[in-house]
Amino acid sequence: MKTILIVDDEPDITDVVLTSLQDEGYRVLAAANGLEGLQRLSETNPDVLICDVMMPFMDGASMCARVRDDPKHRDVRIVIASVMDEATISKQFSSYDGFLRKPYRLGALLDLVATLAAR
Amino acid sequence: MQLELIRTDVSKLDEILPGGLFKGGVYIVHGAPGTGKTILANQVCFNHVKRQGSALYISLLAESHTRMLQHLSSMKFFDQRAMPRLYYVSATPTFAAEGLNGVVSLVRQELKRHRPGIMVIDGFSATRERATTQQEFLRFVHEIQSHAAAAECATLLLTSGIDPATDPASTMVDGIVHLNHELFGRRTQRTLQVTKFRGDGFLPGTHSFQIDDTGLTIHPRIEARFGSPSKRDRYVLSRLASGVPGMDEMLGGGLLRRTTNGLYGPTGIGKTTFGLQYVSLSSASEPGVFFGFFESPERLRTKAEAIGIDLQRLEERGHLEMIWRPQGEQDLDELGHEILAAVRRIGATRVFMDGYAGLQESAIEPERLTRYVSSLANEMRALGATLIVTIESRNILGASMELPSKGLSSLLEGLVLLRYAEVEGRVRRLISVTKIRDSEFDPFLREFTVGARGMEVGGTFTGFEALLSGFGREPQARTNYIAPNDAQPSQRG
Repeated sequence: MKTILIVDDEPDITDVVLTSLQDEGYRVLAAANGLEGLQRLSETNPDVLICDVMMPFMDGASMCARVRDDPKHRDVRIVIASVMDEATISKQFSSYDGFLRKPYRLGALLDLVATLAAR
Repeated sequence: MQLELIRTDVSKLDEILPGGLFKGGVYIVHGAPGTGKTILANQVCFNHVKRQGSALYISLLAESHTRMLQHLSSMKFFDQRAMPRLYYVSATPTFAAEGLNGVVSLVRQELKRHRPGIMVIDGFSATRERATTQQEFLRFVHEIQSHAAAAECATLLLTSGIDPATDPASTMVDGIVHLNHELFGRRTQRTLQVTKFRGDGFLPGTHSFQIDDTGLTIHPRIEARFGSPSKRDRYVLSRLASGVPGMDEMLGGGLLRRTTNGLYGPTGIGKTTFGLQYVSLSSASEPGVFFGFFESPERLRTKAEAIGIDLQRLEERGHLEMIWRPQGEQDLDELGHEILAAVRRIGATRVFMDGYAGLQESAIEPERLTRYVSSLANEMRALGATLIVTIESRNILGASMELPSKGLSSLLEGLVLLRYAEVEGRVRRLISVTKIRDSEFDPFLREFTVGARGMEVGGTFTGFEALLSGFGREPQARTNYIAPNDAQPSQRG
């Protein structure tokens, strides 16, 4: 079973994404900010990380940069999901595998996750 | 050390506040759902970021800021490039897990991370509901206040909950702004009211506002904003030509500059024509504004052309500005600010307002109309304008000459009456000056005509009396004779 970690401070988004991914047969973990996300990563090694950018305590770009620097998580596929446009995001962090502009269609997320998880 | 202000740049909000919000100040923005709190707060944030500042928007609401931003994206102040200097975070998970202490910790850390000049905490009422005791809530407010002050960050607490008047937090915060929407008949009016602002004066009372794709457009109440005119009124007795042949002689040499004058008369008698002739003398040194409710500029241009006045040429040269506000659901203060803005923009000395009935129709609270016109007139005088306002009489013929609002006559410095009178089976147009403050004027009734050259005032109308009743007759000495043993006045002839 593939594992997905979703890191987002907006509970209504997290709830919907989490249950939808579970319905698709994934094991799903959630965190509400970058610091919590790193903590989850120390406990598990997800196949796909879906990460928001603007979050309290630690933003998504800083968290994802740490993930990329950690050899233990070299293979994790990162999807950035943000209200900011991709050009702004890529100035902060560019080593992502997929980008979704919020608000995104759930179908687009599920398709992207399926593609990345299958790699 | 004097506290520094941060401008909000939201419409005319800074004119109601003493110039903006104080750095490090904490302000409650209170209003029922849908009153515009979120739009106002976002407008403040976007404007601050536009001035190279940074802003932090913390949400305690269940609704995501993604959804909120989706709604805001159609607003003209919304700028995608503002993010991440305008940083949106949700404190909902922290609040759910760690309560008020968690929120304080989040605020402290986010202030340190982003160093914002403006911080918004949306959904503040949730913190009150979460606190188990009043003391716990007050301690929370105090901690937010301490962190905001230390970070020199002006903070807006958005709440739709308990009325701040009865909320103990209201004694702690630096200011309170209420947003309200109220139904008058079938019409809704949005109002903003500052009930507390520590450190400096603010414009008290309610001020109307609208929400459209530019965000909040606020119209400070004219009587409050211009209770004292923005400039000293430099009144010297000098004259301004009326543009109507024969009129200036009646006025004792012309209209007195920097005065407010009423042009009173029934429908169709020639008030608008008078106005067209008045603004036809607009020039680079005497710019004019024609503000009307009833006839469109296109119609007025055609009407003016028929009497030899080229309004379009004056407009093209920037000597005249025509403003038309057809009657709908206009806001009285919006109209006042619009006309004053035009007067300032063009430096107008000739202002014609057609007419008072349009203001009356726009007034939700008619009892404020006289004070409103008085403040508007004071400001126009201070700006150097000579105002003529048309006032429509209720009856077309007849003796009644009642001004539409109590107190209106005392604020008019000049009053010109236009009347129809039936004389020997013919309807004649008559004009008289009934008031010119501080000046002599021609007290006689004159006849006037409206023809191909517009309005022209003729000679003194003699040989008849009781003309102002609308029905002229030959002098009483002959007509009012009561014969002995005869109760009925004798008839002429």
